[in-house]
Amino acid sequence: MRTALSIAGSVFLVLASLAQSQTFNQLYSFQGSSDGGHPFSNVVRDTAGNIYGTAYSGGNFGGNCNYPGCGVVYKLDPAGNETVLYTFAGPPSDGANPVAGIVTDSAGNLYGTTAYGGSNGYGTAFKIDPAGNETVLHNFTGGTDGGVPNGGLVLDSAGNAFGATYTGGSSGFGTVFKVNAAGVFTSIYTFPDRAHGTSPNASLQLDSAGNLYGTTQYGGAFNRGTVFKLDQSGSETVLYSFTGGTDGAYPQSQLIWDGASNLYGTTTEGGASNNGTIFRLAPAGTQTVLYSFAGSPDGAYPMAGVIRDTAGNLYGTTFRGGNNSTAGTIYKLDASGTESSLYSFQGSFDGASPAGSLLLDPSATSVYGTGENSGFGCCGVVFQVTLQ
Amino acid sequence: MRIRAITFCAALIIAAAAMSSAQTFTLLHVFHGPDGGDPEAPLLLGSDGTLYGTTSFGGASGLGTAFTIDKKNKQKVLHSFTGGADGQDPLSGLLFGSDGNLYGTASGGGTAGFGTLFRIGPGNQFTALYSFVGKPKSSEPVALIAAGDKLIGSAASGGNFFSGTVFQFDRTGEKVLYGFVGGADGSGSAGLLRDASGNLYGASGGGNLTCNAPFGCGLIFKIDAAGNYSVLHVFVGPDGMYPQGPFVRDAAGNLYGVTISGGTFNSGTIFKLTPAGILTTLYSFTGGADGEQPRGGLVRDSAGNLFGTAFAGGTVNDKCFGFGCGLVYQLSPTGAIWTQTVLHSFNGDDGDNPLAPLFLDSATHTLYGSAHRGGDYNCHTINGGTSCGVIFKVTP
Repeated sequence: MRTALSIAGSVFLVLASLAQSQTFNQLYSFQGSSDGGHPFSNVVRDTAGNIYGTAYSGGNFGGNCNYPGCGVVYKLDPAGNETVLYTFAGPPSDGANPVAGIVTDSAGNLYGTTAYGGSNGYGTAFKIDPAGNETVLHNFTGGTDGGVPNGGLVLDSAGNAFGATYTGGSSGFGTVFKVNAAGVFTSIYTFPDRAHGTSPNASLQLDSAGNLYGTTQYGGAFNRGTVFKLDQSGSETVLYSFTGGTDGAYPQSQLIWDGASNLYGTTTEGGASNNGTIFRLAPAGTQTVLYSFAGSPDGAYPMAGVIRDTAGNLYGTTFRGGNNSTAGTIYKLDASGTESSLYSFQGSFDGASPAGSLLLDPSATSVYGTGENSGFGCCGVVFQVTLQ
Repeated sequence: MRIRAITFCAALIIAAAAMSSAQTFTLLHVFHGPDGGDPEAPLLLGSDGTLYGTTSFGGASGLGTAFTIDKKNKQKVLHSFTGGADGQDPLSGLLFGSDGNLYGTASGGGTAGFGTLFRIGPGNQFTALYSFVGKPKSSEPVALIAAGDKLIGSAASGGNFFSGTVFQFDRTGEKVLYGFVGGADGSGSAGLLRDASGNLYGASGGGNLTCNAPFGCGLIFKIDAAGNYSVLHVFVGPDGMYPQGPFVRDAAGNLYGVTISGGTFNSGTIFKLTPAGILTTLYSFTGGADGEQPRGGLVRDSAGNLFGTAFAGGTVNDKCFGFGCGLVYQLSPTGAIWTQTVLHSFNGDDGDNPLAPLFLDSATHTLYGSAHRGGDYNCHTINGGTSCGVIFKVTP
């Protein structure tokens, strides 16, 4: 116990030393029990400052959940109090192990996916109403409808939800699906072969015309992953195939746009030192590596995508690497391509292994995110980094 | 002790016969410690009927052996590893190089402590040829196969990312064919398959890291003859978790292999992967009398039957604390239907927890294998275990 306290003290010292330019605040630390554990997801924030996300494990340990639990949807108020909004019951009646975060509609409903559980063990798409009642919108079978939705949902203005599954479809290479506002599920695309990309691992992005954009972790011309577009007629185009060289490999990030229709994302591997990249894809298909991670001190293996402020700065996380540890980092890449570390996890009481993308608050004064491991509890953290 | 073992054995043969067509199980050797212990590497049958193998423990120093068992079931220790320059804890089996000498790897020891490549020449002369050096090259080699005048193997650690390698030896020394990053591309590997064109196939960890997060449930990879690395399938759990090499391959290029867990009952699977990358689960172990945790890969006969071992499950037995001790199985196709048959369910005295790949002698249609535990329950205490394993043969 005495040892633990002294280690905790040293962590505070480290945090203080970084506070000159930005401050890392641990908002919540998961216990891995009924409160949830190991959050892989990004967070969303309402106008009152409450934060919402999913935790992969914890919650219910009974039934078919067992260790490490089937996961939860949580809310964190501005004072740091956590409330479990929903505890997944696990198979066969309910989903288990959400990887992605949630999205909200104007009525206050939450929508998301669980990667596993459901009646077939291949995951679910779910809706939670403001009263906390959950509806399983779809139980994935692992067959033609897809399976293991690692990515979350994206909503269009008509209330349709779109997502991708990592596996399933006619060839087992994954699918893209739609759940309309009435809850009717439709499979709208099956990745047919390696050339078209396989294993989409992130949430999709919609443009104003209703086209969907995403990444596949594998497949494409070099089997190192792709950036793809799926138009409204269900026709897919591979916009870019990663070679696995300096351009990157195995992307699993969601994509974002700037005002000029350039797409931005990350690759987990590849790049100059095989520690991953941040890339831009121009509308004409030209790919540019904006930054190649070296591993130390800047981080490695970015699983999350980037977010962008109005000045063109990008912010993101790396799952591994960092300064004197392998616990991951929070970074900023400014518009000129200069990378700076906002925080390097020590992998102890401060948390470790951020996997989700960051959230920038409306005033652009803080970013919010999660680390899936460690912290003052056992099992992951929600953090804030002030930018000024 | 011996008499009891034989009695159990006879009773089991009768029980097994009721399960399927007649098959015979023969215990070839029970390890007692000084002669070796805890076999976990594939066996090799020489043209003269001699079996060659390694044990990861036992021998004069308790750090493993290289051994032979002749046609008269006489076992002989060729080398007892000391943990010095010769290495320790061999996890690869023995194989014949193109020069007729025996080669193998030890997972530890050597000058850097990262394992060795060794040769056993005429007169059982042992030579440590190479001490693994670690990053950026390999450390902790776990498997070795012959590839013409080269040797190819896999290492559990080392490489630029400390996540394991596939390596090759020729006259110039060690070359890393692929170093795993430890993520979407995989992490470590074990038994390899090399086809006639020189392509390598293996199983690795990692892949989809949010399956059994944050580790991933493993994948299947290929390194083509030109050295290009490619991921052929990523496991997500319901289709299997933790694939194990070595795989086997049919004339059409389909790969067959096992996963330790996952599948319908989370007790392991046997799968087929087509050249187009489409995976079919041929069998999901229930974890009951049919076994669980198949670990030793597969062998395949000319009729297309697959053979392997399950680490646990099978006939419930006091020696295995009221659980099964593992078994040897056959998976046979009738059109698209695959049927699993238990060829032998271990009872502890005749073996327990088989780990290693089987060796199929095509000429006699006989399977040779080892069990990691079982046999002599008064064996050495060096490794904290109570039994040291056995060598057996089964004729399906």
